[in-house]
Amino acid sequence: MSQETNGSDARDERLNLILAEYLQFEQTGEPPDREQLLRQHPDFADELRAFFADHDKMQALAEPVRASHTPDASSQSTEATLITSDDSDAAVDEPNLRFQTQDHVTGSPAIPPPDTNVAFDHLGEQSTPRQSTIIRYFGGYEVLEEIARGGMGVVYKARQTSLNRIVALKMILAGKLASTDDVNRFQVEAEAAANLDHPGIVPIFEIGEHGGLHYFSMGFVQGQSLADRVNDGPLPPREAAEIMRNVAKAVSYAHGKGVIHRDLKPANVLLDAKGEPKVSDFGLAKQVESDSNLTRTGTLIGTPNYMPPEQARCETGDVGPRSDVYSLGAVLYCLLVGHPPFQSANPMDVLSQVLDREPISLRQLNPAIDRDLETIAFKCLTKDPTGRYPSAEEFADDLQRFLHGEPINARPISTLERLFKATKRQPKLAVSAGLLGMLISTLMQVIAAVPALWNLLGASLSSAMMFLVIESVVGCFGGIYSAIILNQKDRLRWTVWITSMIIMLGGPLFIFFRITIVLIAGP
Amino acid sequence: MSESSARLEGWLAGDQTSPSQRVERNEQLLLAADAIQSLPEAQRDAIIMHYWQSLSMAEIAESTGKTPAAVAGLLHRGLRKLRNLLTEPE
Repeated sequence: MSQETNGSDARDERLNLILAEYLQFEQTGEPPDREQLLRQHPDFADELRAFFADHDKMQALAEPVRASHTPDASSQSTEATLITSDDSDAAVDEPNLRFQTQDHVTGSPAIPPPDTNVAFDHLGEQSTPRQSTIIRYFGGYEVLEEIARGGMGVVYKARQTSLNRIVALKMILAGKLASTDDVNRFQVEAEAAANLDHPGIVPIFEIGEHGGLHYFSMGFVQGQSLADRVNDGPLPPREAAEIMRNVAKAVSYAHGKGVIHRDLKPANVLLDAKGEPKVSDFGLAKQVESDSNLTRTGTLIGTPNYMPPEQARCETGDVGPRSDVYSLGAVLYCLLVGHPPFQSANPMDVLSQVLDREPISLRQLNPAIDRDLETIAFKCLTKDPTGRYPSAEEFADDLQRFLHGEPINARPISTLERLFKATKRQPKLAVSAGLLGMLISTLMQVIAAVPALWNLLGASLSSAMMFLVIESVVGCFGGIYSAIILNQKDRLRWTVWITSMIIMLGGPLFIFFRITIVLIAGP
Repeated sequence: MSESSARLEGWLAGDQTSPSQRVERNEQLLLAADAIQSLPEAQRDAIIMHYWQSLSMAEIAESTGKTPAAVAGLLHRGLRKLRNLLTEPE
């Protein structure tokens, strides 16, 4: 009996969690898909359906009263949906003020309700979707317009009422900061970022929480982002180099303060009225895009196009200044040719390319790009962090040298390395070439063995035949190995490569010694 | 909380839709308001805070000292009870 009660308690608890998550997401303006939710939890389908029906009815019924929170709602975009906020300036420092002062509920004129089909019975038809409640005021900010919307949250142009200045207000979607630990880390990280003071960095003014939503306000930059610029086509190489030099200097300054960006991409670099780049969203990517959230929402947040391999592998311990250097190189690559080093419609494909492939050479895509500039970009894009510039500063310095026409520090990769990288870029071609090479090598070994065979014939026919068979087998194994190595991941590749070299060279060396012995000692 | 429900009734007079619609919905709202009043206190508070005052789950959880899941449970049970109250004539 008591066990049954426990069982139903646990079931209720699970249902409550599902509902709580749904309601929380709904308030951010991005409710989860109901059908999908029903499919995910077939055991709760009946309860969920009933709840949604009741929930919609109740919302429709309460809508006119709710709407009175936002007197001017009709003039706002219906897309911008967050929670309804409260009586404007009064709540600047007191997010919970609404609990005490409820008079404003009746204080504002009610607007006509959008929906009158509110018969409150379970069997009735689903009511029409409710009109979104619109925020006008949030904390101490007057929300003016939506600027951007991403996986992490929504950015609004807003006016900070106390200081009467225009800011960009970024709201983190509820649920993106999973635990109190995440929240604390976000706070610490955002505070570190808020201490950055550099002309190339968008300043963070305030970090806070209001109505259960975490937000931060930052400088409002009038102008387009690098992503917008690149949409119009690649930038002239020199201009790209100049922009990235300035970006790298700003990033280097932040590194000096111990802040790693972790999510550098063209969309995070804004160009101000004078065309000077300003980096935004410093150090804020880590908590918000942590792995747990990936699984929670089932979607990949952002794209891994500019992410270094160590970050793509979620080896968070390895993420440091050199990770940002990789991303800087990837952004430079994008500015030069108009697309990131790796791209695919499927983020998982991009991820695997980031880990295993080499980007296509810049000069192949645009011969007008200087070889030195390509060398600089590719030094950043090295898979192994130790192969990159040790700091953003040195990347900036090398770009500076390039711009001044001085010799750069980065060394162009050798022909051998280039060949090796080519095998990663086009593994199928490389495997074919490898197999062909092994076939030729086997053939030559057999031919080389013929004179020795003649010499040996006098001694022993069977040992000569054995020798020939061994030679062929060794050659074949070499071929198979060369095919395998080209499909191996980085670490294994070298081991296998060396082994196969020994096998390949072992055969001819063996023949050489046999011939020598035969020549010296006679058959 | 009872104040909020009383205010709800007061609000009805200020409505601006067509007379017949207004009468119809006023009636529904009055019925709903009565039904909400008869709910257990915790459920009533949760429903008023969530649907009428548009408080977020986090805010309700904070002010009532419950977890968001517990608040969702209150809303769920409260709505279910309301549905029964409003569909079955007394």
